[in-house]
Amino acid sequence: MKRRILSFLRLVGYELRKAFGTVWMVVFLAALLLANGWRLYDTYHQKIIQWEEYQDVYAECYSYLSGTITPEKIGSLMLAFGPLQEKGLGNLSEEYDPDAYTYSEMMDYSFFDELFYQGIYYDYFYQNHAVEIVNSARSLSSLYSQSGSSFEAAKNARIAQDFAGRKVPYFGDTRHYEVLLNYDFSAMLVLVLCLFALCGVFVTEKETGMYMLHRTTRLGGPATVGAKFAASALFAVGVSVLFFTQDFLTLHLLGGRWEALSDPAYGIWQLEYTPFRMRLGSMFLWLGAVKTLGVLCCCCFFLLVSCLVRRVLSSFILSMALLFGAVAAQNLGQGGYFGRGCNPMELVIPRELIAQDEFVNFFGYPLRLYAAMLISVCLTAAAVCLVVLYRNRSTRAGLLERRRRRVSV
Amino acid sequence: MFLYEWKKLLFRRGGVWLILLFLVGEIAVTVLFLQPYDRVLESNREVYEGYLANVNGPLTQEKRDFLEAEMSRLNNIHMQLSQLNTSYYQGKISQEDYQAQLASLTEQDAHYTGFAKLYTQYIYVREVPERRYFLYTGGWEKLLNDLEPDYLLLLTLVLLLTPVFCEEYASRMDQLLLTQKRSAGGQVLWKAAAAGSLTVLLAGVAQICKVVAYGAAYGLPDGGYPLESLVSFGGSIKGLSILQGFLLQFALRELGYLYCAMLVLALSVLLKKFALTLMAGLIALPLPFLTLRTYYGLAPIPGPWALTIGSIYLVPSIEALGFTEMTPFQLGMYVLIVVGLMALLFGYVWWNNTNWAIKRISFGKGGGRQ
Repeated sequence: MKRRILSFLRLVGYELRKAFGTVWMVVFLAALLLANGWRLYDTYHQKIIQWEEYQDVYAECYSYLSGTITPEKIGSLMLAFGPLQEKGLGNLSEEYDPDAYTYSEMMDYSFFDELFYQGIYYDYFYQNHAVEIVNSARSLSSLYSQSGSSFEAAKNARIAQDFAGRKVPYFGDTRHYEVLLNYDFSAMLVLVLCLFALCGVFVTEKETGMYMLHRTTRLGGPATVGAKFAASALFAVGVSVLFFTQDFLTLHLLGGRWEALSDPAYGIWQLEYTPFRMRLGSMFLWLGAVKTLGVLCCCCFFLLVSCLVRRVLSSFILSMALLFGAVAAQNLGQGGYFGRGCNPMELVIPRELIAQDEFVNFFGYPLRLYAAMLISVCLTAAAVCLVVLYRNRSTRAGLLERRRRRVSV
Repeated sequence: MFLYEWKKLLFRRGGVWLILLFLVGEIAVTVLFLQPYDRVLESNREVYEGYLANVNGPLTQEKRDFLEAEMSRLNNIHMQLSQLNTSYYQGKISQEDYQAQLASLTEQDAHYTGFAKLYTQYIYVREVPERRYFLYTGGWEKLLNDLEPDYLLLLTLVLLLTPVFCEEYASRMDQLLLTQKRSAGGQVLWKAAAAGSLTVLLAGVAQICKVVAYGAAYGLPDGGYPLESLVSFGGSIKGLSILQGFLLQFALRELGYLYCAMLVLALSVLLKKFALTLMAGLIALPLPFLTLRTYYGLAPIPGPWALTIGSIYLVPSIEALGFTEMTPFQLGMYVLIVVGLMALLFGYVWWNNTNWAIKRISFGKGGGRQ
């Protein structure tokens, strides 16, 4: 047994080296990482460029206002911001003002409003907002249970459970994390790289006519296919981890303020209605894992195409068409629950899944939308894998041969 | 040989389907996602056209007078309307009076938005009346101020041209081809010619698609007026007419896509494998556009990227971005450099597909090829 495992591992290693261990792969990887890095920098820069000039003022205000929200902090913010707010947006002057924090009254207004007031306001009132949601969900739940629709009742009961006791007592700079939350470019690069690497996994053997020979060998058939699967999965996971870590680290270091990482995830306004109660840091870990899973599911489709066609060129083009189709279908929101459940792009770009507390009616049981998507996409990918295995099954002659040799040994 | 390469390109490898798909996609994208350059102008087009008929062409004293007079008249009506509203709210006039005056005033005021567009244009024109004329600019702005490359065409080129050389490598035909007497030079030349002509054709069709679509939807009148008449090209230093500007853009784009085709061919000769060439093509051609936010920085680089956009070389300088417009001489030198680089790429392809031994023998016989 130990020997067989060892030989299988050796096979995986060999497949890895054969399919992915080329100089050009390294070159392409470097090019894509560079493009991703530039794009990250550019997106973040675009977000903060307006206030770059006043970084010092921002740092000073931030060091006082960040952390636990207290009445004193709000008071001192309103000391600067309140008079501007009272004056009204239309009456603020745009002339240079030597007493202003930034440049003019108008500039001061948007500085405090955009960077502090809105964020602190949101955090401070989130608790009340959550209580409102819980109350209305509870009353809806009792209403539905009286009228006898058990799914709606159970759904609202769970919503009430989700939002009960939520509060955001801290304020932190989340601008870079907002960029990270909306960033899809890296996932597309990972997919393109996987497309390139995986389109030839099965086709190469067909082009050289080796696949018939494979199935007759002792470790051939299932073991080779298994090794190909394992190598592809390792590659996809490796590349995903590389790119998603780059995303996180780049923005993390560019932003430079990390307090928000330990705040609740719903402290970011885009995740106001998220079903999760985890911290932002765990949220990003979870997101990375889901994205990687989505990439893996996409890879199953690439492998399927690779084992169905006879030429690398057709494999590449078909896989790319599939990829574009999936992206377009996700963007247009087409296909209903069934179509979405088969589309691995839902996991690769999971923003919609985590932003809303939605449920699917699963035989009367309220199943969370993201859980339903995870399960259905994984099942689809498993079905695709089975098709690949079936296409690469051993021939009867090969089986007989193996059996004969095992007896003789 | 040329026709046979064409046949191989189109029919043997299913290129026809790819091209059909590209054409359908191109037309769909142009027609379905058609957005007017100026929404307000398009919704007030009739009024605007009615006034424009009076002032079309260069600015004269009569036109000035006409525009100023009309503006003060319409301004008056606009003021009266708002006064009427205020006095009605303050209860100074009765419901009947208000209704009676409102109907006539609103009818006259309907011209205001359309005319305001023309008046804005007048303010722009009177800055440099010699080089700025009155004309309907919506269609031309849409056509010339298009600062995005045609991603569909780039993708099609990568997919379509990769097999031209890779196919021979994949089936190991390249070695056989090299042993032929005619292979030296001719083979490569015809392949490149077929690929190049197809590229030029596709790029032309893609651009003509746009011209026809914009012409039909908005209209492209008065091409002979100076390019500076369009607001986006107000500071242009090339002194072209609008039509010349369009032709220059057309030519630059054709050159750019031809450059892309040469690049794909050279990559396919360098890398020899389908997947590698496709990936390298994708990284080299569409990726820079997807990574960068503004493309002005690409303009001075002698690569195919800015050329495929074309209009980057017509746009006047933008100081904030550190972008300066090329003078005609600089542009000429730039094009020369680009052509030289393309020749180098072709030379690389040719060198790698030529059997020098055969050439030497045939020269030795004194006859060479027939």
